[in-house]
Amino acid sequence: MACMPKLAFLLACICFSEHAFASKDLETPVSVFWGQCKLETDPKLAGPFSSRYLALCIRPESHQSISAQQSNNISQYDHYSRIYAAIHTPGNVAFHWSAFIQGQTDDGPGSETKITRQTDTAALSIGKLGLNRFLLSTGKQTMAFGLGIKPKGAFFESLSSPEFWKTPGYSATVSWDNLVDATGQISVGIADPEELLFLEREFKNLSISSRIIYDSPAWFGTRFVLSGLAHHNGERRLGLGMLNIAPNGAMSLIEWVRSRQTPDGANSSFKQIIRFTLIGEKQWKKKPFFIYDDVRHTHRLFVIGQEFYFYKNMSVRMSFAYRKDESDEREHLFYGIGGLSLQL
Amino acid sequence: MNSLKVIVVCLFGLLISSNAAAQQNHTQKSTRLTDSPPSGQSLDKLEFQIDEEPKEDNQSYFPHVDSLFENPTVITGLRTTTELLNRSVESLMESIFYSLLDQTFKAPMTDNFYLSTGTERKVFTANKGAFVVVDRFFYGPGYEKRLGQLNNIPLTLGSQVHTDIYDIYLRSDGQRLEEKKELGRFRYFANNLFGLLPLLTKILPPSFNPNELYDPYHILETPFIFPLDEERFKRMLIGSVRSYRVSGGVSLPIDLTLERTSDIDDFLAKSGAKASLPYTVFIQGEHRINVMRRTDDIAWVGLTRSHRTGHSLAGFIGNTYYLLKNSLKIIPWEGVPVHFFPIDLELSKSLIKEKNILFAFEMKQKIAIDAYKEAVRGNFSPAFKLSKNSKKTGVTYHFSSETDSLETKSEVKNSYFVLKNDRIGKTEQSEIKLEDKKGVSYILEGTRTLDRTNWDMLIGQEKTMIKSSITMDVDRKQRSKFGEKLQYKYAFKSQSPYHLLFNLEINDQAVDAEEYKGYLKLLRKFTMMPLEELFEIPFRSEVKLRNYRMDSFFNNPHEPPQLIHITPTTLGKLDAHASVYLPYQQIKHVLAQPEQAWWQAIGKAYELSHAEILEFSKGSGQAYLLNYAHKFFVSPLKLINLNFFQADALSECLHFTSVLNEMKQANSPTELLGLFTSFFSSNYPDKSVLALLYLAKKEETPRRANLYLKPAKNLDPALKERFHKINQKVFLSETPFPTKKRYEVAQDKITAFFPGQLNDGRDKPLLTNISINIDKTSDVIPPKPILVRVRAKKVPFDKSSSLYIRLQTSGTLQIGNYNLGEIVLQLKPKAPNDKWNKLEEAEFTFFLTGPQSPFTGFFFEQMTQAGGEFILTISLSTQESIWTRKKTVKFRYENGNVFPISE
Repeated sequence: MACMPKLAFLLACICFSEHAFASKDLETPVSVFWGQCKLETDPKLAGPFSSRYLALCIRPESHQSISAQQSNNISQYDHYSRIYAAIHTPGNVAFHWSAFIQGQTDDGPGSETKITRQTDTAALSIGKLGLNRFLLSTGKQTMAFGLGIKPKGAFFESLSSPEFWKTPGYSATVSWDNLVDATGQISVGIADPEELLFLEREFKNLSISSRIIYDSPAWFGTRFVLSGLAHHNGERRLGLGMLNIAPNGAMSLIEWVRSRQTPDGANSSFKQIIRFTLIGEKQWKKKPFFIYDDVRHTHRLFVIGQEFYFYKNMSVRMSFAYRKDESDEREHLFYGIGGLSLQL
Repeated sequence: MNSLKVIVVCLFGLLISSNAAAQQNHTQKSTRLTDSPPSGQSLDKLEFQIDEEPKEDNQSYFPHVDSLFENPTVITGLRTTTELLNRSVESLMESIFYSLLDQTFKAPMTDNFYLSTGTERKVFTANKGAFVVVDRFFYGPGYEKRLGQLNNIPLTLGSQVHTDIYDIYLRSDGQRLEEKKELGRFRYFANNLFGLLPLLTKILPPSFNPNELYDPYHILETPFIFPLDEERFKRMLIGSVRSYRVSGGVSLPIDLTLERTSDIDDFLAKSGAKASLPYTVFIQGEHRINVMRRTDDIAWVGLTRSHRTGHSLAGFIGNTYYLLKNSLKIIPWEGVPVHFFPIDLELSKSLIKEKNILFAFEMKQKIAIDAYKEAVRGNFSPAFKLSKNSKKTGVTYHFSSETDSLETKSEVKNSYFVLKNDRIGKTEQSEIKLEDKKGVSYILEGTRTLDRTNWDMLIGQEKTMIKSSITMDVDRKQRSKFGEKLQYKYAFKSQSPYHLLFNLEINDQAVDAEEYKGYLKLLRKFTMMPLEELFEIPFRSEVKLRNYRMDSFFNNPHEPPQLIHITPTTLGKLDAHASVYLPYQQIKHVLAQPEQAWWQAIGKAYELSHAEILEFSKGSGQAYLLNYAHKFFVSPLKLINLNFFQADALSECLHFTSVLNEMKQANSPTELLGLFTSFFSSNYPDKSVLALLYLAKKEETPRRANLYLKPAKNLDPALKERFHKINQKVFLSETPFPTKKRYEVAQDKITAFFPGQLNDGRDKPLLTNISINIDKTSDVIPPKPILVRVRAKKVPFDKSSSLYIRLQTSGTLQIGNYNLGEIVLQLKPKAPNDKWNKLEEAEFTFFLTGPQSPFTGFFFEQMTQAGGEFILTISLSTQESIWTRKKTVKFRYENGNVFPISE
C-alpha cells in the first residue's frame, strides 16, 4: 500500500511524458521540454530563435530495486528518484538544478528506513557545448575529475563506490573546448559556501582539480581523460580514464584513480580504484551490462546483468552481483538484484 | 488467416534470425538492371548485368617470401646476452592473446646443450583486407656457453641447428565465416576456441586480429602436412605455400653495456628499467624448400640455399613488467607481461650468398610426380633432366639464380605496450646471375626499403613502406681483385641498361577521414597524378555535428561529460599502392640538368622558399645556419621515431645534389650501383621521388596508383558505394609501363610464393549476369517457381564449380534482413547458347523456389509464397578458397511475378 502513491506518480509521469507540450525549437518566448530535451533546430544557424526566450527543460527519472543478499538472507529495497530541471535564456546562460531522493530499507530485524534528500546540482552556466569554446559553470556541482560517469540505478548507490564521485560541494569550473577533439577544465571548489567568508590568504580551504579530455577517432570515438584533484584536506588524486561509445550505442569505460593519503590515512577513503564497465548495445529490447569495481584494500565488486525495455522509457533490470570484501568483517556477498527504471 | 500466418512467421523469423544483422557483410551494392521497366510492372524475367571488374594491373606489390623468414641465429645471438626479453612479444595483444600459439619447449641435456621444439604463428597483412598466416613448427639442438670475459665484457658462444616446417596460407575474415559451411559444426566451433573468439572480436578493440588465434590446431598439423607426395599436395589449398627449412648457425654475442655512472644506475634502478648493448657476430646457413599449389594440378617447387655472415649491434632501454602478478592466488601466474622499451635500436650488416631454383610440376603426369617427390626432398637432378622436354614430361624449368648481396639493416623501435612505432630501413646491393630458358644474364640491383609502422591497441596497424630500386642489365667481365663487396667487373649491356623503380605501399587497419586525406595527398605527390576520381570527404559528418549541438544544447556543459566530440569519420581498412618507373633516358635527362635545377627540385619537394633554396645551395645565410641549429635540437628525437623533414631539409638537399653530382661523373656499373644505393638512403624517399619527377619529363615516366578501401560496417551506404567504384580502378599515366624483363619476371615468380597475390583477381572467375526468371513451362501449380540463371567468365566447362547462394527478405520495417536460406551448391555449368559463346561465358541455373529448389522448410516456403521483397546474394568459386566478390540483386516477388525494385 505504501508504494501506491509512488506507482501513481510513476504512471502520471509516463502519461505526462506522452502528452506534455514542447515546442520544437526556440521560436516562441517560452518553451518547455520534457525528457530528452532535444532541440530540433541546429542552434548554430542564425535566425529561427527568438531574441528573447525562456526554455525550461525537465528530466525526471526513477529507479526501484530489490536486492537479496545470499549470506544473511536479507532483502533490501531501494528507491532512487532524481529530477533535473534547467532554465535557459539567450546569451547561452542557463541555470541548472537537480535533486534526488533515495530511500533504503531492508527486512532485517530492527532495520530502519533511511531516506536521503539532496540537491546535487544548483549551478549557473555560461556557454553551450558545441557552440562556445569557453564555458563556465558555478554553484553546487561536482568538480571536474575523472570520467564523471555515474551509472544510474538504486542498487549502484548501495553497492558501488560513491568515493568515485565525491568532491567538494561548491565549485566553479572553467573549460576551454577546441570544438574538435580536446577540452581542458579547471575547477576550484569549497565544501561549504560559508567557508568563503573565512578564506585565508593561502586559500587553505580550497580544492582544485583539472581535467584534460582528448577524443580520438579510434574505435568510432574514444575519450581519454587525465585528471587531478588536490583536496584542501591534503588528499591528492590522479585519474586516468577511457570511454568508448560505439555507433551501436554500446559503452565501455575503464578508469583508474589513485589517491595519495596523508600519513594518518584519514584524508582519503580509498587508495586506488579501478573501474571497468561494459554496457552492451540495445538489441531486441535488451541491453546487457557488466561492472567491475576494485577498491584497493576495501572490496571488489562484480555485477553482471541485463536490462529489458518493455515500454518506451521503462525498463526492468535483472542482475547478479558478487562483492568480495578485503576487510575482515564480510568476506563474500552474493546479490540477486531486480529493478525497475523509468527515465523520461 | 494467411496474413496472420505471415505475421506469426515474421515474428518467428525475428527471433531465430537475430544474429543475421551481426554477420559481417561483404555484400556489394546491387548491380544495375539492364532494363528499367516502370516500377510496378510485373515481368517474367529480371536481368541484372554486372559491371565487369577491370583487369588487375600486372604489377606485383607483394614482398619477397623471404621476408617471412627471420634470421634465427641473429635473434638467438642478441637474446643470449640479455636477460630481458622475448622482444618478439611487443604489444599488449601479443602479450595476452597471440603468444598463446608461440610456445618453445627447451629440454636441457647438459649445462650448455639443449633440445628445443615449439610452434609459432605470425600473421602478416596482405591486400584487400586479407591476411597471410605463417604457422611454424620447429625443432633442433642448441648450444650456449659463456666463454669468459674480455675487459669485463662477457663473451658468449651460441650455436643452433633448426629444422622448421612452415605452412603459409591466405586467410580473410570472409573465408573464416564461410568455412562454417564446409567444416563440421564441432570443428568450426573448436576453431573459434569454443565461442571465445567471436566474443573477443566483439568486445576487444579493432587492433585484435582473430586470425592470430583462429584454428590453433592447424599449427600442430604443420609437421605432418609437408607435401612429400601427391596425396598431401592435393590437400593443400590452392595458393598456399608449405616450406621446410634446415638452418644452422654460430653466433658470438657480447654484451657491450659499459660501466655506468651511479647516477644512471640509480635512475635505472628507480624506474625499474634495464639497459643493454648486445653485439653479435654470426654465420648462418640455410636450406629451404618451398612448395606452392599454384593451380589444381600445378606444383611450384623452389629451392633456396643461402649463407649469411655478418654482425649486429643492438641497444635497448626498458624492461618487461608483469601486471596482475599473483592476483590469481590459487593458480601460480606470473601475470600479463608488459613490454616497455622506449628505446630499441638494432643495426646489422650481412654478406649473403643465395641460390634459388624454381621448377613447375604437372601433377597429372606420373613422371612429373616422381620428379616432384625427388625435388621436395632436395634432389633436383631428375627435374633438370626432364625439363628439357617439358611438354612431354610436365616438368618445367623456370629459372635459377645466384645472388651475392650486401645487406645493411637499421631498426628504430619504440614499444610502449599499448602503442609502438617502428622504423626499419634495409639496403641491399646485389649481384645476380640469372639462368632461364633464354640463357644466362647478369643483373646488378640496389634496393632500399623504408618501412614505417605504427601500432596501437585501439586501432591496430598503420604502415607506410617505400621501396626504391635500381636494376641494371650488365655483362660480367673478368674477376677482379678480391674486394669486400664485388668480385667481378661489369659493363653495361644494351642501350637502356638500367632503370629506377619506386613503390609505395600504404596499409591502414582503421583509417579515418583526416588520415585518408593525408594518404590521398601522399599518393598524388608520389605519382604526380591528379587522381581526380579519388574523392575527398569532409572530416566530420555534418549530420552528426548538428545532432551533437542539438543534443547538448540543454545540458549543463560540465555534466555529464560523456558527449564525445564528433571525431573524424572512420572509413575502414585501407590499402594503397603506387609505382613510379624512371627509365634510363629519364635518368640521363635528370643528370644532364644543371645543379641549380636539382636544388630547385629538391627544395620544392621539401617545401622550402626560393630564398631558402638559394641560401642552402650557397651554403651560407640565416636560413642555412638556423637549419643546423634546428637539426641539432631535433636529432635526438629520432631515437623515438620523431622525424621532422624541415629540420633535415638541408642535409637531405645536400645529399641529393652531391650524389647526383657524383653520378654524373661515374661510369662503371658498380660505381653507379653504389651511388644509387646511397641516393636511396634518404630518410624521406617520397621527397626524393617527387624531386626526380620535377626534373624528369612526366609524359615519359610511367606511373600508376590504386586504392582499396574495405568500408567499416557502419559507414554511410552512399559512401560505401562511392568507394566500391574507386576500389576497382587502377590509375595509370599516359605512358604505360614497359614489358617486364627476364629478371623482373623471375622476381614475380618468387613473389608468387606470397599467398596474398592470388587474392588479386588474376585467376578469379567473373560474374557477369544474374537473371531472375519465372519458369512458365513448369508443371508446378501456380505460383510458378523462380529459376535463376547466373553467367560467369573464366569458368572451366568440364567440371563443377561452387555456387554460394543466400536469400534474404527485405522490406520497409528496416529492422534487419532475415536469412531465409544459405547454401553452397556444386553445379556443372553449361555453355549457353551460341550467342553467348563468343564471350566465353558459362551459365549456371538453379531453382530458387518450387519443388526443385535446394532450399526447404516450412518457413522458407511460407515466406516465398507470401511474396515480398527479397535480396539474392551470389558468389562463385572454381577453386577452393578463391571466390568472386559477392553480388547482390533485389527484386519483388508477388503472385507468381517478379518486379524490379527502384532504388
